[in-house]
Amino acid sequence: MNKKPLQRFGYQDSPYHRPNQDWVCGYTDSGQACPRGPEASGKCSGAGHCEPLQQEGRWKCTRSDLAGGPCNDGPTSDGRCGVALPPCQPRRSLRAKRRLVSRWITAITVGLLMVVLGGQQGLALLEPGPRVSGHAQLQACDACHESADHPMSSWLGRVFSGHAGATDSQRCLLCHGVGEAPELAHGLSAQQREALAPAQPMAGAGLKVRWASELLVDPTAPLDCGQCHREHRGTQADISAMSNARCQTCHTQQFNSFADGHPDFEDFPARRRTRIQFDHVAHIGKHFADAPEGAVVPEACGDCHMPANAQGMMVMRGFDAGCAGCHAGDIAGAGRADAPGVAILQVPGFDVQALHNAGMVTGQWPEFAEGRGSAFLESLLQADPTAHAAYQRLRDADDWLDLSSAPLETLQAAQTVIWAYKRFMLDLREQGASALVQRLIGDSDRAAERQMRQLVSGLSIHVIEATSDAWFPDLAAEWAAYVAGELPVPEVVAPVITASSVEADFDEDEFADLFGDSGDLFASDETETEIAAEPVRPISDGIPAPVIPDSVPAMPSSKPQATPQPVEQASVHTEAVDDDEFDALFGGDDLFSSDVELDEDDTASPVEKKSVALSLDERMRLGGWYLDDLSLRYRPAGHADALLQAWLQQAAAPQVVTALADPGSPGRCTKCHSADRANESEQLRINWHVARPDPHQHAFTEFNHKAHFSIMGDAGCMGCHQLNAEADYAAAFAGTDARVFASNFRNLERNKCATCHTGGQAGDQCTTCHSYHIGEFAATEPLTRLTKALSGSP
Amino acid sequence: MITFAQRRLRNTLISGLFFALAIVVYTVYRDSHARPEFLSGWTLLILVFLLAAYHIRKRLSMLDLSPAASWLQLHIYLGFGAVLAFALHVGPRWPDGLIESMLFAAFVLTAGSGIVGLYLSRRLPRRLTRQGEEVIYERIPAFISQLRDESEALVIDAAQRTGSSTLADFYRDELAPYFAGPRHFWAHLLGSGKPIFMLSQRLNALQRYLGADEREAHAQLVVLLDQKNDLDFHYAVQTLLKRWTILHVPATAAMLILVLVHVLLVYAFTA
Repeated sequence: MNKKPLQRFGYQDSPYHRPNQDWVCGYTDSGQACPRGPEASGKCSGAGHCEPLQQEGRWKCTRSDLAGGPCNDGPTSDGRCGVALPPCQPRRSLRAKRRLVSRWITAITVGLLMVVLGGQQGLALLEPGPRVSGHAQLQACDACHESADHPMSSWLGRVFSGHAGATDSQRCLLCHGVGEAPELAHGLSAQQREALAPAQPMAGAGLKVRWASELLVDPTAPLDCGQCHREHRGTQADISAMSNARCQTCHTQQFNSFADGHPDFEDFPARRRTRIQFDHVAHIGKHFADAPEGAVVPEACGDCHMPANAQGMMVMRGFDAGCAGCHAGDIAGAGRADAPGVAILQVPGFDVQALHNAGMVTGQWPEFAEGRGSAFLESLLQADPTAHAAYQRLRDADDWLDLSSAPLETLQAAQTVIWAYKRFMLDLREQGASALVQRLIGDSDRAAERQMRQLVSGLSIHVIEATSDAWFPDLAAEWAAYVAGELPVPEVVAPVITASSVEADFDEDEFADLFGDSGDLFASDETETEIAAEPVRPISDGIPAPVIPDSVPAMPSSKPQATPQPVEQASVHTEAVDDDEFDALFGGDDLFSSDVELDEDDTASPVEKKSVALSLDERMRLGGWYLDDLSLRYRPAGHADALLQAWLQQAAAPQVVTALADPGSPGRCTKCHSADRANESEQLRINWHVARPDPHQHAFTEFNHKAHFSIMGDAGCMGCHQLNAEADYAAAFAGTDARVFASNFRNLERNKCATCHTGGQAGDQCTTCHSYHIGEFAATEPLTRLTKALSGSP
Repeated sequence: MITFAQRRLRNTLISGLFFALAIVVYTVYRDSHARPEFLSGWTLLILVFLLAAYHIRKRLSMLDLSPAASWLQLHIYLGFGAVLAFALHVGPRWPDGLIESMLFAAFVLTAGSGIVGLYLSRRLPRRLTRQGEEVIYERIPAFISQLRDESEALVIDAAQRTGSSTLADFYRDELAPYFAGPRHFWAHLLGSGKPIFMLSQRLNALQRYLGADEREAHAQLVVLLDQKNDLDFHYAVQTLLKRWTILHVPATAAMLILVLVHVLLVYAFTA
């Protein structure tokens, strides 16, 4: 038996379905059709099979053929259908149901959004995802988002009107200090970037990177934090991740990978000479090998170097661990031929007689002073413009000890300097060490004054008084007379200087004590005739005499009264020193009763013998201030002497810095500590420390030594750091430009790194070694009510 | 005249070309220092509204806006483009935020139902033509009713003629529920013939207990049973073909609302 077709077409054979309408016949599911189905509005029309039609006064049945054609009974006389129908059963069509569901879903979605946005936790519920753990404490949206400060009703307007310059990035910077120009690439200006990496033709990178670079990247365009740091991606998200391609699109020198095309390490890690002059080649190859028995010499790199921080930067262990074994004595001055202490104050020598002959008033002046004073002299005179100008003029004179032919201006300058020096000494005596500080920096710079206190650390008033008494025994009275114009004009001395006259000025025994019995001080250099022939200009040579009151009292001889003696470090003298104690400490009153004499004095008492058993240098071996003849000296106590460091850092006294920066200067600081300055106009900057981690310095390249210790081979550190015996390391330290140098080590080999640092092994991401935010910048201050109020931030 | 296969190949190639180009542009954009989310986001937004325009086009049948079939083709390929843009925009992760999660779910539901619908509209019509008579979906209940009437009449007639109730009892117990309406909906969707096979087996097993007169009615019942099975299959398949849009369209409505909120929030909180 075959199947009979079910589907028939034709208006008489099948009902017409309208599934596109909203309402359909509900009887359809049971297999019945509604003869008069629901209208579009869902209502049932009519109660009969048809809507009778009136023709020629008669009602005619209009039932469709599908429903059986005109019925036998026909309509009633009043025009109603004679075949009653049960009411239709309207049912929503599929399309209507779909629309209804859509409307419900829309309403539910909108309602849910209104609940979310309008609730107490509205903003929190809008958070697109958890913040990274470091931002967990930022509970309020307005900590990062400026829009959160404004009502939701304004957000739509802000989308179109913008944020009026207040950006979310600025709020990032409230906590994250990344330099002064965070919106620029790397925080550097275009000029700075160009200086670091000059533009080069693009080559070596993939096509996409080149397109991005050439079509889309504008290195000068400002960057928002959010362009790289994607927040709300989970507590453990790496919001600092940056793809290699992103780096490459900006970088002018492009390459495929670290192993393929990355520049070799030509200037890494050293971009400057080492701060401490330490010749590895010389030390390892010679000094350590030839060290005397018992000397402490390092046996491995780790004896001197160690990782400084978690980032694994290697630093020196310090002087005591690495250098003191051989170099401690150098600093203390052991074995020096000259004085081991720095002459802080020194009486300059003048041709006093020539000054007197020219009518200059000098008062007392140490007869045997020579030299031009210490390097500190000019700095001390700077506070007095007149004196400083005089000093500048005087500096042009060839020989201060022979001013007989000097012009009047030079003589007057010498007189001015003499009295300025005395004024300083008087101030020093009356005010103590603070006078020294005031002369150098004045009273205004209190920050510098703190540093200056270090400059006179340990300089007691007793040392100052002893110094003043030794050099200028009656200074106060003399100064008072000078100010009052009561100092007499010295008599003009005939310009005849012979050996006999020299002898006449000295007691023979005293002279013999000083210079030896057999020595004729002048015999080997100048003859009497030559000395005698020295021209002396009479006062009447047209040089105006100084205006001196007639009643100037006679002044004592310029010969010092007391012999300056070594003074122990001032801290020892906490009480007033009586004469006996002073004598016991410093010897007698005679300046020229030197140690030599005392040592040879067999008649000295036991106490005196004990006090003179050691030489001056030996007695001062622990360092400190002491008076050495016509010099007030400071002997460094050892390495990292605070006072010498302070002086070498003193920008207000460049002459002093220059003098102390001499490698041969006491303390020998700059024998190892290099002194830098880019040009002659800059102040020398002494490098007191080796390169070490600086929280404010953010290097472009970082290398974690600690992470690589475990993979070092038998060669140890020298597997990477290979000595370069050909390099002239020491020569670079003759100059002051740190950028000119020759490293003790050969360039690091990139290929050694690239054996592990590939994509499949240790990784070759740019950010493995390089940082984006580079330069010098400090961490921002914590956001407190006070700092917010001060900065005006919300 | 271009065939369906040729058209699909052509459209697929063109779309593939555009998609590849879009991926390249996106990766180039990503490698620059611009924010690729904005590129993918705006692309996605435009695509979503173009896709939604298809629904409007169907309502504006009075306008000459090119055939709806062409719009459907555009809808399909733009839909795949939207899926690609969405994948680039969101990445391989489920978003964490409430709004973003809702939007993600709405898009996945919309795109997923669309892809399923496309698959069904390509696979099921072939099955419909292979099995039974092609019938209009709305008429199926009437045809089932017609078969029910025929089968009942057949069984009653046989019982009256033979005086045996064997066939009638079986009909009452087994076949009457079957002919009462569409049956075995999920089995037909899954392509399983087990239910009708079991029923046919029982009907065939009845044959040994029937007399000669009853066997004629039995043979006609087997045919009606087969026809009913065909109708059930058509009903199940066509129901699926028509009703998947109940998921697709409402999800689209929710997605459009959430998209607008998402764009508002993104621009309000990105500065």
